[in-house]
Amino acid sequence: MTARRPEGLTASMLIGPATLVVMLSLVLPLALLARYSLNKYDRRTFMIEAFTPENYLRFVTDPFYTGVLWTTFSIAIVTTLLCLLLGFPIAYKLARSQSRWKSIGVLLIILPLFIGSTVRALGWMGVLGRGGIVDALYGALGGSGISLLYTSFAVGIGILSINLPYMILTLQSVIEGIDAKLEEAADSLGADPTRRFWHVVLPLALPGIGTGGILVFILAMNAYATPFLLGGARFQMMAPMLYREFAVNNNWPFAAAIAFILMLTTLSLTAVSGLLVQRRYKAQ
Amino acid sequence: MTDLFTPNRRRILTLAAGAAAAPIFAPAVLRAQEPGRCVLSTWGGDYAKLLTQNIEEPLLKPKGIEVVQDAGTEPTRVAKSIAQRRLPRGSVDVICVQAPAAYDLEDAGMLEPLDEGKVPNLKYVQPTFATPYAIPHIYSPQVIAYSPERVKEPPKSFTELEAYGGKVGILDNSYIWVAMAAALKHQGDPGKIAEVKPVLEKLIKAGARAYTSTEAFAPAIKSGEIDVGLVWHARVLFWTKGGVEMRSSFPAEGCLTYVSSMCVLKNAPNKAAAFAYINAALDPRAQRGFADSMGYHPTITNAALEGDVAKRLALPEGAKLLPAPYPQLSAVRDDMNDWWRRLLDRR
Repeated sequence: MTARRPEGLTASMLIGPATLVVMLSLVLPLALLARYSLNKYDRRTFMIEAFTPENYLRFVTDPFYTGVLWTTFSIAIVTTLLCLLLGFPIAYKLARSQSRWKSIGVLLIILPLFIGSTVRALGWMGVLGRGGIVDALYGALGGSGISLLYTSFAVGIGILSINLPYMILTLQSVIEGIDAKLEEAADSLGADPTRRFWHVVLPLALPGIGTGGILVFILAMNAYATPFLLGGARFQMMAPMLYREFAVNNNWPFAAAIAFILMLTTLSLTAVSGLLVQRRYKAQ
Repeated sequence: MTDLFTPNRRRILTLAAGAAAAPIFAPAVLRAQEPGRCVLSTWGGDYAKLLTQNIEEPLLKPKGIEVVQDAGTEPTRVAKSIAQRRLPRGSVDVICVQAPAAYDLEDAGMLEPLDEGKVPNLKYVQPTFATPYAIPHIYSPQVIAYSPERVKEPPKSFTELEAYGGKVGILDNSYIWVAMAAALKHQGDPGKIAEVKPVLEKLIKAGARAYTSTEAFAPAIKSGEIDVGLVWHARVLFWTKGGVEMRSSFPAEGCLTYVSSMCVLKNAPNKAAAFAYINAALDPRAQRGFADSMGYHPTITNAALEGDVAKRLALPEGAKLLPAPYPQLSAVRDDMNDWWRRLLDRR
């Protein structure tokens, strides 16, 4: 008689090691961080064990911190929308292209991803700063000294340039999955290009727009090097503020609370947008 | 069951914090337990390289002491040491920090007291910088850096610097030193830091630039974005060497002084090696090496500089050097940091 191993046991043996790794490397540190966020900060001993919501209350009741969260959110939303507006035509063109140059085009989109965000931010500093390219052009046109560095514009354009390839690549793969015959069908039924776009392409690309949007939104919410280098001391976003609390002020409890607030905000906004896209998609 | 093994939440948290730092420290801990090894917590980059060149290789290696450097930013390293403070045996022997952080560590009861019995070279330390808990390794006065092309009459006091308004550059991570310089001039006491908030506010409202990276200061002077700013004299020497036109003016009311300290932690695993390390750091050869390559001044009385280095580092006649008022600084720092962030926001 051969004893058959129960199916559930095999499955749990297979997913067991992976689950353990995830538990140890992700869930446990997060649990520790959550515990820290309820502690109190003390300059001398650096963390006093407590069970207090005061770090969270400090954040939500202080207009300065909520302002920083709002700035981060605004920058993330604006850059996500711009990524979508600028990325969609490029992704569409690439997806529908039959040209032998297509792979070169895709490569050009991927190429910037080979360079780290810090290096690219430094590049923007050279473009936007005093004595930079924009300043020199402006000077040549008769203006006198312009520095766009350390402004929300600089941070916005920096994040946009970093996130755009992610949006284009996501959209391109989704658009490629849409059967071109559907568009031809719309054409043959007399739909003009605008109508074809709104009623055929866009609804079918919606899941891709949702995924791409969520991806670049999360990246923008958590951007660190770009706002730090291009925003300077006077422009505050969540990730640099979190880092400052953690590594400069050594206030781990408050930094942990900021981390959770940022994570929860990003997760809930992502979940809401995911639900909206899903509902809209089903409605089609 | 001894007290050591009584589990409670505090202990578990401390252990957890220690465990969080453990992966970084584990190899260092193992090595530190061997005789003749000294674990040094230090900044990375040039400073760490020069420690190896001027102290570790020529002075400690012949004595059989091998040094392991644990390099990182100061707050992170301080946090690690605090997290390990309850362990009977830590992983670090000597920690290099700025003098204000050394004061904080001493205030928290974490530093081994020093005396000439343990560190013979202490007797040569200049009295201005001597403390019973840390050695001053190198120092540099805070000066008014200016562009000689655009500033014909260099500012001779903090008040004269203020007159430059929007052309003043401030290093964001050293803003509190600017506050102390303002307190020295306006209050006659660098410890009255909170009292000069309006002075800094006026500067910021006038458009003074705040730079998040120290390296951004030199290009800003070069491009004409700023004309003046308070920085360390060693930095001015370094940037001048790099080809940026910049000079130092020593404020008449006195110069606050940056001091880089070295301390021995109470739970250092190899205290004998730690004392040997900081004694070697006060050796004239090591001190001259740092003066030559980094432009920081020796902190001892028996390391007279000669030739070109002496000329470069010479302080003007009557330049007043003041150590920062560490206790007052420590008391107001958290409040000031918070205030400074809000002041800068969107201005």
